[in-house]
Amino acid sequence: MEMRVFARALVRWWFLPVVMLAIALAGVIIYHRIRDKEHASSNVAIMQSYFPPPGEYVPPQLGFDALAGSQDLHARIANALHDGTTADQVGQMLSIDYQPKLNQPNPSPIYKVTIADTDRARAIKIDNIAVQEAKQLYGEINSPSAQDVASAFKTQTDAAQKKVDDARAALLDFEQKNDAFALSQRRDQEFGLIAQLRSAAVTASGRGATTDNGDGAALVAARVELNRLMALEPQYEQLTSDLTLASAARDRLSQRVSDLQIAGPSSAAQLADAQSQFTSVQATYGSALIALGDFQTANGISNLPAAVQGQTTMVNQLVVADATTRESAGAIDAAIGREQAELQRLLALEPQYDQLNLDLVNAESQRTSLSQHVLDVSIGQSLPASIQVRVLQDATIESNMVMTLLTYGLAIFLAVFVSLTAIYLLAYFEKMPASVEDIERVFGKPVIGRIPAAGS
Amino acid sequence: MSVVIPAAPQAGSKRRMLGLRGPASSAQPLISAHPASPFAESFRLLALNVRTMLSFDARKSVAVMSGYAKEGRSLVAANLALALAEEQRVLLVDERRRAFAGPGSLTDLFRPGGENGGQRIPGEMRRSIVESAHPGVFIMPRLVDTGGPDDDVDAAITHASDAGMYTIIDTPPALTTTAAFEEARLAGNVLYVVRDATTDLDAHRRVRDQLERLNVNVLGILLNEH
Repeated sequence: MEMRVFARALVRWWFLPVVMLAIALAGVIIYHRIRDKEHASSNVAIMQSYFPPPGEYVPPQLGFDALAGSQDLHARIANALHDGTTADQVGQMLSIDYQPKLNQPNPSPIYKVTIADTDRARAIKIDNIAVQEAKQLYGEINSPSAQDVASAFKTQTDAAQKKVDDARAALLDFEQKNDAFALSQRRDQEFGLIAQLRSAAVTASGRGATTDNGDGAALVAARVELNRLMALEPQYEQLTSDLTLASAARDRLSQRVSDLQIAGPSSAAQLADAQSQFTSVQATYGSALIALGDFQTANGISNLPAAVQGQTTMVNQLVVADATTRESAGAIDAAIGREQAELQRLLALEPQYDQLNLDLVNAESQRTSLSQHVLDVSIGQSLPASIQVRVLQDATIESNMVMTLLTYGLAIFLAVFVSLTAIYLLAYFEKMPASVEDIERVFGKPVIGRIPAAGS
Repeated sequence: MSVVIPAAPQAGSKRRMLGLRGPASSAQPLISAHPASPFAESFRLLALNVRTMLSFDARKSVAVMSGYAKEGRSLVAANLALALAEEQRVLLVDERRRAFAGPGSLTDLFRPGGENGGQRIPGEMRRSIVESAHPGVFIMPRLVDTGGPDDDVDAAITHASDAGMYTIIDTPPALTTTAAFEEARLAGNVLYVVRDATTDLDAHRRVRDQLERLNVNVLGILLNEH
């Protein structure tokens, strides 16, 4: 189409752009009247961990901007507002956007928390609430739950415990079958007893004493008590092991609670969680303590190893005294022979005993390490939210000028474009001659006359 | 004396003048009523152009043609005849059929009269050529019926040219009856009248193509802004 034809059509339908412009501008004005909202926004930085706490630092699994879609966050904000705003309404007005800064690489990502509302003051208020609630929720979401960690490690923990139980059962079975309770101590005691008996035998042979095969009643009673105490040792070790484990966990959680109390109110959720764990461990510790106390009361002992040691010494002394009292070299020699036989038996059992004991120690060590690791994971892998989330700028109102100008510009552009397109199409499909020149072109002849209008 | 041809009603048509959008006039004057008006001068200029263009034409005949009705053919034919008659005698042939002729047709406008009292020019024609009341203008009235071929026009043109007269034929609308092209062929020359843009370009092209096939010379276009 020639420009002349289009220009003529434009002159003919000049009102089309005017009408379209009027409609477009009116539409934009109405749109802004109805839809315009104030946008309040804050800037939040998520700090990286420069000084990770004990245990390996693990980056947050959930980004800060993902919280924008959290129904939990919407509900928290709505609850904090107390003005009837629903969680869904909060969800519609809230947005959290990552703020990339390619020219200034920063390891700590920055996010913009924005609230759109018709009222300026309310937008600022909701935005500040949203930042605080998001900060709280972010810390909670990215902190591992003690129960979840315990559940995650349950298989390994149970396996380690079973290994300990099996090792202890094997050792106990060995000790019962072979009368080898506290084998190492008894071996040492036998060495000492034999040495004392030999000394007594030298003394008795000088006096020409005769031998006698019988033991005294006190010695027999002392031996019975010693055997009872030794039989109690496996159960005692189990109880003291449980108590030691619970005590270690209690000490560590106590330290964690103390750290979080120092961190301030922003770590309230984590503090509550740690205190909950501490209470649980404290209860476990108390139970272990009570069980040990019951055991000690029921068996009439306070410190079993010390009691065994004392009883052993007493038995040794009674054996020597009994042999000396009889003043019989033969009796002393018989006692020496008996004790040497016992020593030989114990020495023969020692390698297998050592192996079983080592298995038990290793199993208990593994279980202890695992328990410690589980505890580290649950309390030590993430920094409190107050440290990781920093508010760089509180809520301020953003200017809508650019958006407003853009919408007006777009409306004007569209109105002009649509109207010019319409005029172009009208001109293109117009069959009526736009001027007498069009008819001249059809016939290839000029206008040779013009009858003027009436009155001219 | 003024003779007025009533204008046909413009019902239903969107009037768009070519560059001028004024309403159609309710009456069509003849230049004899306003001899010093711009209206009359425009026809005198047209007559000059026609005379010049037909100066080497033996038959000196022109068919006034338009695509559709109400373009002003009768107005042009009548006033062109009057303008030409100021210097030379003119034969005005009213070829509009009854269906297209209003009460103020050329036959009615140019009633017999003049010095010879409307004397008839004898000939071998069904219709006679009669001198009208306007000096120098002879009228060949329209057919009363539409039946059968009519050779009178060809004979009238021959008689007129032999007598040194111009012949102006007022034709029916070209796109509603083929008679207009027949008369254009007999005249050999066409003056194409355009009033406004109610006739689309395709219609003009159809008229042009047909005239080319008939080897009819289009003298030019007459823009009727009246």
